Amino acid sequence: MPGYILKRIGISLLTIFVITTVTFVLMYSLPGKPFLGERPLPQSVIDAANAKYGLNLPMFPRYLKYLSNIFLRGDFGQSTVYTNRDVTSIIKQAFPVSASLGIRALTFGVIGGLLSGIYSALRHNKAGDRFSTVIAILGVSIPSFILGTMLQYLLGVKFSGWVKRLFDTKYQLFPLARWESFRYTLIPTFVLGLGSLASVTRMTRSSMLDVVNQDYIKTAKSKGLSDLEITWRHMVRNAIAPVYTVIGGMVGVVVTGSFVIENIFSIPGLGKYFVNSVTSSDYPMTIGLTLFFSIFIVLVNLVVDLGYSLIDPRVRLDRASKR
Amino acid sequence: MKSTVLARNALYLLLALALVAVAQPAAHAAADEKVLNIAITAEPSSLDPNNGIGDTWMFTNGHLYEPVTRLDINNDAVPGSALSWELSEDGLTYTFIIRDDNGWSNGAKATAYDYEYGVKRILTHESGEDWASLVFDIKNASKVFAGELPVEEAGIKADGNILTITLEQPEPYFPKLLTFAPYFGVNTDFVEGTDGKYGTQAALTLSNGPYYVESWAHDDKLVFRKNPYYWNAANVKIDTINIYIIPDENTRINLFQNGELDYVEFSGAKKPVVEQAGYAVSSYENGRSVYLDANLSNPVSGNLKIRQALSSAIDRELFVKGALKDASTPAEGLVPTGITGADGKSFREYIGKTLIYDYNPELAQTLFAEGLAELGLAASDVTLTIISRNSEPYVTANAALQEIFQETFGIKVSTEPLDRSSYSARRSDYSYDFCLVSWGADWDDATTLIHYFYETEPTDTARVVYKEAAFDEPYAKALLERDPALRQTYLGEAEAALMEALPRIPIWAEGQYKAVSDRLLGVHNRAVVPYVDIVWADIAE
Repeated sequence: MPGYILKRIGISLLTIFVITTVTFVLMYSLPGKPFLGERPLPQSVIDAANAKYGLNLPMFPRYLKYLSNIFLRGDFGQSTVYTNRDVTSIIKQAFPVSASLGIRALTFGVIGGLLSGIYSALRHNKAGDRFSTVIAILGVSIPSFILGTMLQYLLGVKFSGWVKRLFDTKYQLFPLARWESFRYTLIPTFVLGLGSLASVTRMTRSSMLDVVNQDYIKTAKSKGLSDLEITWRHMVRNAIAPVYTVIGGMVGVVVTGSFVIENIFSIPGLGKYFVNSVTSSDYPMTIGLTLFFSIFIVLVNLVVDLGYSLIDPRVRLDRASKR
Repeated sequence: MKSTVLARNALYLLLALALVAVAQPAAHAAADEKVLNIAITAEPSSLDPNNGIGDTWMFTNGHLYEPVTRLDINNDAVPGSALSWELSEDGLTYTFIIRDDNGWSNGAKATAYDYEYGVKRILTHESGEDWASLVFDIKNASKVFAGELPVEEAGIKADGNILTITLEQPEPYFPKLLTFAPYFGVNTDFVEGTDGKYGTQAALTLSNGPYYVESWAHDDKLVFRKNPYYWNAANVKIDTINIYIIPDENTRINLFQNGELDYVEFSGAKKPVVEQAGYAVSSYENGRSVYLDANLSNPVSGNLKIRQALSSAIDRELFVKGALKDASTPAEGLVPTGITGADGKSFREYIGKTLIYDYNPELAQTLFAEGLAELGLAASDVTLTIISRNSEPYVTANAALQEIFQETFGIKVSTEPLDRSSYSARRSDYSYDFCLVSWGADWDDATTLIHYFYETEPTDTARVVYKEAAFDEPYAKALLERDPALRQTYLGEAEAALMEALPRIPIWAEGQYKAVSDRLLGVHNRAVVPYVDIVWADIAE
């Protein structure tokens, strides 16, 4: 096990190094400059701005400076858009919000998905199964910007207006936007989590159906075990591994923020920076985010892989690594 | 079976939640306090007036800082922190007497030196570069910025309560330029204590204007409170402004409908939605002029008759109604509506229409044929490339122009909506025939749109730039003219010269739809920043 972890950490570091280099080269070769607006700027002004952000250096020295800043000092530089704010401080401020939303959505999606997937498999080809399949298909196919906008209007405007008239209160159970208390999280969590819920449902269902017809289930039944025990100990335990793979892949994406949902609900998360930093040529921000994102994904993958051996006793990491 | 139980339990839970929710009393502000709720579309890049960019940065600055002069509701530059000012005989030196009863939000006294320090921060690279060229109007400023002269040589000096500003060349509109954030003052002691982080957080920001920032949750919300040390605090009626950062237009409209916002701006597409919800929609001219910028170095776009023909082919009335479908108005010149002129009229009202080559399809054909003959080309040989940004309204407008030019002249038009990065690359390489682009007014005077042509020097021999005496002569006269009405007349003549040569073909002047809640009174919109001015607004009881 420790050998495997060390090897994985080594590979992770290499991956991160490659990603930083590729990001740098991509950003370097982007056409255009960050400080070009409609107003023609005097050369002295452009030079000063380039010097401030280290953009005046040729490619290789700039790359070395960039690497040493990141790896020796942990300094991602300052945003060129948000004046005098460090990229790290922006990530520190926005990531917890995205992570909070992501974890809520994942919890909702995974628990909901497992339950409906199991239910669906047990009710194979009956009405309940069809219903949950329809939900799953809808969940995968409705884009979140449509679902988000729709729920915001129906619950935030229509339902709230109705409650207001009925109870003569200003209180909103489903606030339209922003990120304050628990009730503010309800709609965004649902919208963001529905996609995960749908994929987990479908994965659980098919994986459960594989297990349902196995001989050992028949054996268990003939032994006279209760339905609950059969479902939990013999079906779910055996069906969970492929579902776990799907969930592992979701974590990185869901937790680092969704541009669309954060935009609709004005949630101060990290999602918008992924898009805006590129469109506004905020090089330090883009590079900082890419690096942060890749480190995060690499870490999540490591944890997910380690988790396999806990979920599925047949997986032995040590042997796999020595082979 | 189990699932129905689950569903029922979930229903109970939801009901219980709803009941708890209804039972809780809503939080109320102190009864006598006036609170305004508005939204801005993006996080301000900073709250440092000498360092930042973007409309939301300008909006926040306009309410946090007191400029030397402030625009009143007639868009006249009136005393802000200045009590009065004088202009020297040669039109170069302004002497401002700064009031001694204005204070920073921590109780410190606001002084003339604050303004000197603000500009010098820019000149010494202590703050941002974004607006450096705007303070280059001050004598020696560009040389100080480039390190060729010591900072003491810059033409801005404070002595006691006297602020003296000397300019490179006469600029009769200079008092209006002072309403622009780079010229705002900041408190030296405070700024020096922020370790280069001034204006990045509420606690690291100090105000000498009507409001100060009490809290700033990044990407979420700013709370502005009335500044008790502001000299004119008695006339500031709103105690608290909650400024929410709401990037999505739909969300802003929903919040407004829900009564959670008192003011909202929106595009033409959303107008019916707001009207249907029962609100009165109005609009204002936001001082943005949209035009085709010609690349004069290319043969076709460099041909005068072709440019005149293209301009004559555009039915601007129909363009605004049919393609844009918003509050914009057809261009009558390069200077947009909403910019002040003379005699209490706007520049456009005072000067009238200078766009000579407005819609005239017959003339367009004649001019185009003459232009082609000069170039020795047939219509089928011509391909025009029009670049623009890949955002609205540029994409729609570019497509409409393509259709107009192709159908009118039988030429090929290739439109290229580009992202920021490729756009700026193409723009700096001059790799296009025309660029569909807009320019927003920085200060409230016609010069803001046409000064560019006076400054341009034909330095690069490979590049053709517009430089004609027909423009320079009246413009130079306008710079020296003290009579405000005559000055506007000269500017009108200069603009007319541009409209004859058409280095830029104006198409429309942007307008902005808005709706205001019943309780918000006296919010003022203008064509320059802050576009939304709530300094003198009030909340109805």
